[in-house]
Amino acid sequence: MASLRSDNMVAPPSGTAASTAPPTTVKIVIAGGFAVGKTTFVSSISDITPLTTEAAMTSKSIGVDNAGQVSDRKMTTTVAMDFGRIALPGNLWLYLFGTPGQDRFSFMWDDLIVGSIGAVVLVDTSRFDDCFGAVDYFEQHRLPFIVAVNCFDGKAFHDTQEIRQALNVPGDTPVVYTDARSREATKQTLLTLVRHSMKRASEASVAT
Amino acid sequence: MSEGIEEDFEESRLVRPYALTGGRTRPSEGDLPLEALVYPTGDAPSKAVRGVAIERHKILDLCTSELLSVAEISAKLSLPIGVIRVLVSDLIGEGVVKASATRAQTIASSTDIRLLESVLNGIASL
Repeated sequence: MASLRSDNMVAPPSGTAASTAPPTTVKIVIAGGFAVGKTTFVSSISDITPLTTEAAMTSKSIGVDNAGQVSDRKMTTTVAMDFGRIALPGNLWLYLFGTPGQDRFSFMWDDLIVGSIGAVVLVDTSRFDDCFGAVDYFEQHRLPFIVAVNCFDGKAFHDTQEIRQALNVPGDTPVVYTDARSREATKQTLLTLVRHSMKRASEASVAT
Repeated sequence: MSEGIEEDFEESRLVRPYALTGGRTRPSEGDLPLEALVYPTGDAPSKAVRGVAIERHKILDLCTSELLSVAEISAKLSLPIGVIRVLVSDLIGEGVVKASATRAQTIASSTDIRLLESVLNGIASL
């Protein structure tokens, strides 16, 4: 164990009560097509340089697709997933996981949505179809999500109503503009999502 | 590659790194959340575990030096999430490390209004 760095030890020594509990972790999914700006969005606010990991197909995901659509039975083995982390006051760590938005990546979503606060579907209005899959999936699985239109160069080419119709998102789902390069815009986008998730959670608690 | 996999075949060998887990794709301790933090208990790992001793050591070294999630361990060791899940679950089973949250806990917390409010205020304060 030559590489231990005791100055960074985070866990309490064995046998003593945990003096500092590990942070509570929460996560948000950032879905969108290739090159829409997911990683830029995550980097704009992450405390750490976004990391990349591989999500591999699990046998569980094969053939249990909800939609019944055959789509891609030919599964790629792994898909890169970029993610970042933000420490929040109150011993909270927020993870942002980026994932492709097309149907064939839904095996990743099965895992990602578990325990997720919600999802931001990042949209490039010139390539809507890259996110239809994610929108349908989140809706079916009742994961709170918002649609964030990434405006390259600060220009919006469609109004949110057009986007809402094009993506056929429910009326109460927020559709907002964002700029993935801007920390402030990313922050506002995340706030919109968390507010939406809170609204959903309070509706659910009233209903039960 | 990997076409023609039997649908319910638990031990599919889609990725070679699963050799590290003895072909297991399901962790012994149930699904670990991607964002669960893994930290050492201080107990020593059991001696020789065939084949994966190096990876287990790397995991232990990593999470001793820094508080890291399952996803971060996967990224830093360049091993798929599924492989890390299995190896970390084994270490949990042996009492060498602990995970900060279970799948059930993360599901419950994702709709916990008070937690969501803390997240909201936290993001707003950035």
